[in-house]
Amino acid sequence: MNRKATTVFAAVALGGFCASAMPTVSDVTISQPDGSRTVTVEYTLGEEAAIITLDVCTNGLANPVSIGLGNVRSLSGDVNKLVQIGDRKITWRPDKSWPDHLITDGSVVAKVTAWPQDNPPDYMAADLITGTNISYYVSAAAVDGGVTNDIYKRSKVLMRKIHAVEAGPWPMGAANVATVHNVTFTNDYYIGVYETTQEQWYHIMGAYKGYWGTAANRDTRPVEFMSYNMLRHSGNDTTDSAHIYPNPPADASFLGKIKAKTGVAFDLPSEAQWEFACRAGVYGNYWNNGSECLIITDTDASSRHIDTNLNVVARNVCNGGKMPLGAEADTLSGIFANPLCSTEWATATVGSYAPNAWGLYDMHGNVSELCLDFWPGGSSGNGAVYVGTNPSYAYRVRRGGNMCDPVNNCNSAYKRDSGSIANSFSYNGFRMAAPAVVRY
Amino acid sequence: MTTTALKVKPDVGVAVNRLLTLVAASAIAVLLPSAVSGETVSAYSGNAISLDSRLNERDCGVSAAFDSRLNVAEWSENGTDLNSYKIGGTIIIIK
Repeated sequence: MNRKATTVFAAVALGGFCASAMPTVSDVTISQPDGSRTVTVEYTLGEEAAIITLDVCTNGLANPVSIGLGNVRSLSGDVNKLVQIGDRKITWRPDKSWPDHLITDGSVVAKVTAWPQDNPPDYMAADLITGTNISYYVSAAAVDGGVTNDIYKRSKVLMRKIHAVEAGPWPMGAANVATVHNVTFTNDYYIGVYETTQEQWYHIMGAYKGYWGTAANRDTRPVEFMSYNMLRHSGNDTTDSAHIYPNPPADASFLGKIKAKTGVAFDLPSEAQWEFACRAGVYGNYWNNGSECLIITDTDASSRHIDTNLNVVARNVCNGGKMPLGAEADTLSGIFANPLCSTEWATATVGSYAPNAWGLYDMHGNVSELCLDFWPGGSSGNGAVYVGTNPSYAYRVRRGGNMCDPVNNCNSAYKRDSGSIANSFSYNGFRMAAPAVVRY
Repeated sequence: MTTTALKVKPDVGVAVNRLLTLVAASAIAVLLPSAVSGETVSAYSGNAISLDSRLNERDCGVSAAFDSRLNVAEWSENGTDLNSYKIGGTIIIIK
């Protein structure tokens, strides 16, 4: 998408010219009453509703320099959301987000940007309690409270826009792991910054779900014990054709409920969307932090080959995903019988390890992430969801490996089947995707 | 009156000048941009201001009676202690 902004210095606006019904911004003013730390920015939005964002600059109108979007938080009013046309107002509290600054030379200006509804900003946050508050932010720095704030692991879902179209063709797969072929996307998309957590599940479904964790430590762990049917279908019917992709999720499913509550068309990602987001521009047999994957060629797939590079980005079998060596439950099957699940073992709180270059956490390890594609997948050249020739087929693709996986299974290109779509597994979780358009 | 083309959009394949700046007398008249599909538009404020983001008695919940005794010039200038200010030599901590 073309995200270049056209800048206008409007001392006196006398008129306008619009070739089509796209948003316009005019009559921007900034003020701060004497004795107050509240700054008010007023503007007029014309032609079409749009997402509005604010930046604040110093250095005057001739050569404005941003103070940094991370300093322009603590905003309220008609900003960081879809705004209808008309005269609008933003309130900024610089004493909260940019405290202890005194600019006396009259050089502070406001910059108001309108984002068309088919090109919203890079971050979207959906409030799962109200369902009505959908916020948008230009960058990670601008995200209210910061990307790592616990609220985005609890009562809000934070989505990152993936600029997939401008990337052009990219090599999906990796030698010795999966077939390599070029994929070229035709649409950008949002994908979850984090795996969906148990508290987020609770806010939509009204009850907790998940095998790992106690009431004291479950909230920000990824929700697991998932089946595809719970997410997208209803009941245990493996031939539920009414809700097989590309049909919408069932009303009673998690994805059906979250869509109804927020208005955002959340869904599972395709495996091509998942892998592109996971890799963040790193192709081949490399972890998404750019370090080379350890490729194990022996026959014991469950053995503990420690990959220190993987340990940086993922909860896996070697850094807490499984009981320690010598412990009673030190087998791949034993972990599932472990009654002493704590923050120390099994899944990790989402965001516990380093993100990839695009700011996505836990793409490797923690929980395997369900995708839309029917097993065995095999994404086409445009990254479309693989639906196979038999839509009643009961397995889907899952990606990324999980907390008790050895290194090979956490590879960016590695895939396995989900198990039956009607059965729950304590290593299956998910991360949501959504179209890169405004919900309305 | 001078008319100046400000921008051409090569990426949409049609070179259309969509912004015109009209400079008339001492005022600057700016035609406002509209976007093509997917493009953002931005506008700076027509004015620039001074700004003070130091902690202020009106914004920190101090009562009006208390507020009336505050000497703004006596705020703590210690950049590491943004939640305090001075009244006559007494440091007031804002909880």
